[in-house]
Amino acid sequence: MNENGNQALDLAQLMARIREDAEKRKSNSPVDASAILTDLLKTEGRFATSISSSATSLGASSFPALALESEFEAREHYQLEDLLVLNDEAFVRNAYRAILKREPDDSGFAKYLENLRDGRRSKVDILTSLRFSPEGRLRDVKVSRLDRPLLFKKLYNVPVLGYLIERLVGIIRLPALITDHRRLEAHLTARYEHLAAQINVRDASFFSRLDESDANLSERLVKAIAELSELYKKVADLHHQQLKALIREQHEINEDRNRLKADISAQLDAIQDQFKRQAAAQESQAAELHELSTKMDTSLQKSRMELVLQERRLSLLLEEARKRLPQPFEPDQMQILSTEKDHLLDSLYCSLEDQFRGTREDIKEKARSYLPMLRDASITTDIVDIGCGRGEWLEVLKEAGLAARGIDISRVMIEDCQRRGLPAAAGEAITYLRSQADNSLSAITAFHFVEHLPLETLISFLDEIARTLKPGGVVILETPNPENILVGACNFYLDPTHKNPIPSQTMQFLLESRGLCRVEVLKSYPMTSAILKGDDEVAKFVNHYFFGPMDYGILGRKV
Amino acid sequence: MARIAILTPTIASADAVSNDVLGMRRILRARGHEVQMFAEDWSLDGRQVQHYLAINSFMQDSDDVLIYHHSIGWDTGVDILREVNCRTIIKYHNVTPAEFFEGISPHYQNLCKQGRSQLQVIARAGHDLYLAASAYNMHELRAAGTSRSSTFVVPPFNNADRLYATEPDLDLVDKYTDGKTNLLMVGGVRPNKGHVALIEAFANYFYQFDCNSRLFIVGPEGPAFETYSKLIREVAELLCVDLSIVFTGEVSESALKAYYLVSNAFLMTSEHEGFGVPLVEAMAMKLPIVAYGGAAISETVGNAGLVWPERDPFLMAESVDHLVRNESAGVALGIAGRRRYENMFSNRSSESQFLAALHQTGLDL
Repeated sequence: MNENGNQALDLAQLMARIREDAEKRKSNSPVDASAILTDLLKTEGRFATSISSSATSLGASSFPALALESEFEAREHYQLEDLLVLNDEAFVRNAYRAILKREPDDSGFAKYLENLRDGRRSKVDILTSLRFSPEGRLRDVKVSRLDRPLLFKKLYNVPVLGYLIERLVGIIRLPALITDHRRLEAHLTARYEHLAAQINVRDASFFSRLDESDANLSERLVKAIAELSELYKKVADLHHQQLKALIREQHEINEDRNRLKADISAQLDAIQDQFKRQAAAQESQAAELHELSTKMDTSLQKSRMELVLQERRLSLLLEEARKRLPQPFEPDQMQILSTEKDHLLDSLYCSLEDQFRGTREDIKEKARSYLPMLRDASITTDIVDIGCGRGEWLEVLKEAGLAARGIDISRVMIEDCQRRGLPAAAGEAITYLRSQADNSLSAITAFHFVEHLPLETLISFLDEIARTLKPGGVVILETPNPENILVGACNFYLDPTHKNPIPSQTMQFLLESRGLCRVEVLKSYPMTSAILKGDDEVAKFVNHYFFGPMDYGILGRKV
Repeated sequence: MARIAILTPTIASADAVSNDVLGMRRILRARGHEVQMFAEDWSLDGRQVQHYLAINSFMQDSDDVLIYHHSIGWDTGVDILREVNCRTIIKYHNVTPAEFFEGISPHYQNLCKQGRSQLQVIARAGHDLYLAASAYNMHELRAAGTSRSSTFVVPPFNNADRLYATEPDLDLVDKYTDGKTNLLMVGGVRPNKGHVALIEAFANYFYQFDCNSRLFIVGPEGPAFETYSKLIREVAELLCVDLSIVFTGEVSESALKAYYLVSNAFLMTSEHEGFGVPLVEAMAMKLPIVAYGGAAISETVGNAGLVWPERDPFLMAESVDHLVRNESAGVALGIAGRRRYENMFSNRSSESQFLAALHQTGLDL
């Protein structure tokens, strides 16, 4: 029927199989719902067309042996079902016959029948009790599967666990109970029908022989039949109610089971989620650890280098001291000692820079803004960067094709520059400038340098600049801008080697007073991201004093 | 371009005949005709439908066309058909036999009796074209006296493609995706739909195979059939499956989609169907069908489901169990159903059959 190869389905074959299975099941089914329905709808006298199939016999084929009096055979060995199939009096009587091999005594018969009828004991309970009574043990009749209930009964007496087992067994036995109920119902129906049939057969002959005068008897008979019918109805109703209760219980069990399943799957999901989250957290922790260890490696290497330098200085000092110990220090020895003392802070300063100055790329980016000033003055060579640090600006100049050299007092910095292939030398600024000829330099630059100098030294520095610059040469200085209150009040002092913040007006004045001209202040790098919106006075004030440029540059020229 | 009137007693949403009327109007309008719907009673937007009394002023000359949808007794319709002086087309959706309403609704019993006898009148009146929703309906038309050359099968236009594209009600999907086996029946709760047999088949499945299962009975329940609604609930209670049956009443399209999505099989136990639109929906939704093959049902389902000639709940239950346990058979039936829907019952297919029938009777519209 289906063109789709891998899902091919032979409809006719499937239907034949279903039909076969259905027939098998039908022949094993004790009760046919159709029959019950037919009864109901017919008695109500309506909707004959709505019934699916004509009434079929009430499973009579399944219980041919269920006569009013049991056809019981005495044997040495029984199946549990052989005995369970019987009901009520027949059950108790035959249980005695089978297990104790005798007719029941009156009191025993009455007791068990009562127990059975009020539901206090099940059939299995009664069989167990008979079989394992002293008399039953003596007879020792084999009833297969009868020992199992006894085991459960013993377990039921265990505290707590026993209760749970009893409940569990109850649930497991529910389908069997339902089947039992159906069987019982069918049994009763069959019994009733059998009775009715017998009565009918007798009716036929009986009534034919009756004269009008026997009407009284016939009336009694009719009444008896009516009573019987009423009784049957009551019994059937009772069993319907019981069945209903059982189905309801089962319905609840199903609902509980479905809910439980959903709960468990939700919990599993939650646990999986948690695992995932933990794995992700562990991964990010691992990444952090890796980054940290890389940082540690770098700083360890730096520390080693600094240590080597320190050792070299110490050995120099010691050498000098050893040579000259008996005699007083000579002035140049004093000089060495004092210079080396200054260098003791080199590594501290390097660390400070690392901590607060920003990344190399940031610094370079800022420095590039000064390139046009050199270009405007057509300067390509003889550029000196005082306090060159790690050489960011030198690198910018080199990349722009300009010839420059750097001077820095810190040997660590200079070594860093040299490792990067940048022309830099260790030296003290003023000493260095003093060693340069008049009118020999095209440009002198100093970024974040002047704020480290006491006033006298600053003046000397400016004087040396004025002397060494060629006419037309430029000086570019950059220093923190104290007009930004955050810088003036705080950020400036992040570096404890800073001396004083120098306002741009002061700096302009100093440059001009030392002979430089056309001095320009270049306010750079405003913190644009933090600017308040709006054009009112408050916004303007706040933007200027809190979010204004963090540094300023100043450009001076020599005529 | 022609003036076309479509006439039927009642036009409502979610009703098979009305959907066919609307489908015809859409097709004919798209072809440039002036199309107007007429009825006595309608729940659609007021301007779309006019009262049947206005039909005379709408119809002007003998080239106009009147399409009458016949599904129930309506004297007015027959009178109008007799009086108009224009071309006439009959669409026959079948009329439920009156016996089903006995003891439940004398009113409907009467209407259906009328509808049956009017079928005879209409069939013998020699209208230009007779359209039958199914071959089953066509046989009734022919038996009532229409000629072979004027009688054609055109399946009804339907909303199955729209249902297929609709977003399902996800709350319902969540609620009923709970581990139970779900079985579905869709259709108005009317006495010809075989609900007693349905519940009986379900009870059989419930007790023999899977008591962790549920039956949805989806469809409107009108006050006219209250006795019937009560009866089927009694039956459910008698068989102790009342807790496992969900009567949804009339539902939205998204809810309907949800019921189709969560169900494992579609059950059809109706005793009389002129076509069976819910079967087409089930096919479009790839839901395997298990059915009793009365009236037009076996013709509509074809090879897309397990259709039993006899009404035996054991067969029904066994079939459901097979489909639930043997997933590949269910899927194969679903695919076969979808293919059958696309080839035979999609609106596009109905449109071409409709136009072909018009063409063959010289009514090119």
